Amino acid sequence: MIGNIISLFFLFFLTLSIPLSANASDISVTASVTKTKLSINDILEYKITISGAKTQPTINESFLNDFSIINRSTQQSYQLINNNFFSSQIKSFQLRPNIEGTIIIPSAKLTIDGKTFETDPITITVSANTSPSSTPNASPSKMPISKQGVSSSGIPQGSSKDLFILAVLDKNQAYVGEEIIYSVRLYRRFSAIDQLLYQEPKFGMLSEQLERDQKTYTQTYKGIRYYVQEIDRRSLFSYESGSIAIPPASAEVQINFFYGSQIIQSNEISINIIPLPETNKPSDFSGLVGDYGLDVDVNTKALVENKPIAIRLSVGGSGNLKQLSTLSISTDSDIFKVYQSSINDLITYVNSVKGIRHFEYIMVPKVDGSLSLPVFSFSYFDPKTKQYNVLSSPSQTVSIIDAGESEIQFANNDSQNLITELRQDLRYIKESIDISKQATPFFKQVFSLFLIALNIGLLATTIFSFIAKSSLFRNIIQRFSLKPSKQAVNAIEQIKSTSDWSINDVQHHIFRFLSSILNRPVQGLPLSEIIEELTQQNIDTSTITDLESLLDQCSFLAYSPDSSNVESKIDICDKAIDIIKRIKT
Amino acid sequence: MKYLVSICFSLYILISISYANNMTLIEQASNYYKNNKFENALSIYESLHKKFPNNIDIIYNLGNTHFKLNNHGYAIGFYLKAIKWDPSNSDIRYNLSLARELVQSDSEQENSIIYTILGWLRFLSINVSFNIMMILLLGFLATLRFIQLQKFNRELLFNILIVCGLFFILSFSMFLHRYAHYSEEKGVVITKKLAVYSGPSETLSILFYIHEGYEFRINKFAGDWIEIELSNGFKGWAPISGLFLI
Repeated sequence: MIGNIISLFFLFFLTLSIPLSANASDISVTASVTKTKLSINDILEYKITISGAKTQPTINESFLNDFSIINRSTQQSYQLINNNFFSSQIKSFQLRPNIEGTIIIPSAKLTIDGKTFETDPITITVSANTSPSSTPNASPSKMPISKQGVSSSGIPQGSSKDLFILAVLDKNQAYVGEEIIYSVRLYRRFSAIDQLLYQEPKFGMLSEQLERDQKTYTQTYKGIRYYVQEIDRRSLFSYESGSIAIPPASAEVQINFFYGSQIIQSNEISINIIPLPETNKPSDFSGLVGDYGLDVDVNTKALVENKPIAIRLSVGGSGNLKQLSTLSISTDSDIFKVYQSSINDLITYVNSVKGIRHFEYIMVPKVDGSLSLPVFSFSYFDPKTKQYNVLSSPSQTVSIIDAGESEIQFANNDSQNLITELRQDLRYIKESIDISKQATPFFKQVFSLFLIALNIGLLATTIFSFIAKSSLFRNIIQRFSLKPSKQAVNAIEQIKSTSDWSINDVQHHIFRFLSSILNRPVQGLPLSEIIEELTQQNIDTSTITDLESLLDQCSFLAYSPDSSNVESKIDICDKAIDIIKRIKT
Repeated sequence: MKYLVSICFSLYILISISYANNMTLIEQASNYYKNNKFENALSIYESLHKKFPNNIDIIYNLGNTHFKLNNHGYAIGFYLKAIKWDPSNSDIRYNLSLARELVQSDSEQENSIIYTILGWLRFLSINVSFNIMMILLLGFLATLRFIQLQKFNRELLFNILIVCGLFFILSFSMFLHRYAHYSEEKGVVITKKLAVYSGPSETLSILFYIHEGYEFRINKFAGDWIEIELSNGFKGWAPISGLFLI
């Protein structure tokens, strides 16, 4: 039980201690070397990695007194998270030892934000060069330049005429930092060999392996025809002047099973390295030699006060591009804050070292208005023209938008070529205004009023039609129209006054009257049934008898028109009127 | 007759001159706006607004000009006024949303459930919804009439009648909804900070403060005071001078 409690307490304090220790180690400094064993002519790379520092560290290089510093470079990467910069820097030194034996590289002392940090010391072993002629201070031997533009020194001593390797350079004199192409070729009279194991020499200068020519061709050398094959090709860059000898390369060759294997050595060659001229040397010259160009990529449409934007500069050309670790920046720090973000290389190693080094800088405009972008530049020495050249990004005036005016959305994913809105602003005013176009409510609009009228009309028609067809309507009409007795009397009176009339008309009006009395159509019914129904309606018996005789008389006259005359017709009409009046009462 | 012709001609000339003057003013205001002289543009647009109070384009331009002058309360007010007549206008809606973002206005419409479900209703004006309703009613009545007249296929007509009837009911409810929105009296706060009192007097206690661009409903007037109601149900009285009535 107690053990469990102790374990819990231990875990609790361990959990608490993790964030504390993380805070204490915000800045860390470490040192490393690429190799710990090397010869006196070798170059080693010494790297100091600083992470977490927000400012540039200062390094006292006096601890490297036992070495010649051939090249310095700095790589930086910045991250902007929640408005805080997190940086990681690697300071690299290419060193050549000045002394032999076991050397301790002392602790590097760096000052960051007023605090001093130290790296751990590193021990390396420097051995003497096996070949005395390969030391850098050895006397140079001038090489004749062949027709192919290479220097050679004939068949190497100790090598057979049938099989030898020859080292050649593309030039016998070069400037400090200029590219020298070194090539080793195997000359053989045999059509084929079984195996070749090549051992490169110690160059004593920076070397970059190139893609060798894979083809085997024939060449006549000193009157003898050989099969020639390139077995090594590389670019060499010397950062020390003077005559530098390149020791022989060696190769173990097995021609076939019967001959066995033999070790052959190439010729020793030397080259004269001449220093770069001091006249017109730019102050920011980094030692870059070759032929270069500068390309700039910046989105000038997205510049907003206090919002970082990236500018990409590409330095391309032929030479040791890695020599250029930073670009010179010309700007007012109150207007633009510039931070180096990253360096990416796209370098090919084919016939020579060629490529592009991409520099990315983060620029933060601190003020708004119309401003000139920072100018980025670098200088290099062109060995062809023997002149220093300075390349600069074009001076560009851009408009910086005030950050407080509107919300801005940055295209953080420019690399994905997505279309993003850089700035939100008002949709523009209406310039062509139709003054006569006034907004009116629907009850003032002609179209709406027309629709209303149409609907009212259609509704009224529908309703009227519906009502007109219903019995209720007919009853109502009947109720409001003249009484049937009066209608019948009027109609018969009207018949009397006309000359051309028939007895059927009188008969029709009598039946119509009777229909209204009995509430059913009576025309067509047998007379006995009409009489019976009238009797049920409490009509006087004498009146019914008179009606019966009148209807009989009408029927008789209707079927015998010749017997009828005007007097009898009028008499019938009078009788009909009298009977209607009597029934009504 | 001669007099009549001369009067007509004179009227025509006067109207033409007035129209030309107005067009010149509009052009002038546009130029001022382009050259960031928003004060000058505003005075011209205001004079035009007095002449043509229901011209949507002028109201919209007034909103833009006020926006540029950082009068975001006024801008929202004018945009709301314009959108009342032309709710489907994307430019007005966009600018209104920008102005609302700047003042962090609380728009009740955008948050209400009915707008979440029937968001498209926002794009219908009162006039359009009325005309839709009337056209559907016309279809319904015409079908009914055809049935009465016993023309065409009776079954088909009955089907059409049912469809038209249902759509008419829907359009009628839609119209009622838009009409309620249209007839609602609303306003916007135009001062940076406005005290809302418990009654129409500054001597009464302050209930809460509202900021520029805040939208509210108007309940009643009392002299130079208005009783306002916020979307969260808060009620109070504010002086009319700090408010823009839509």
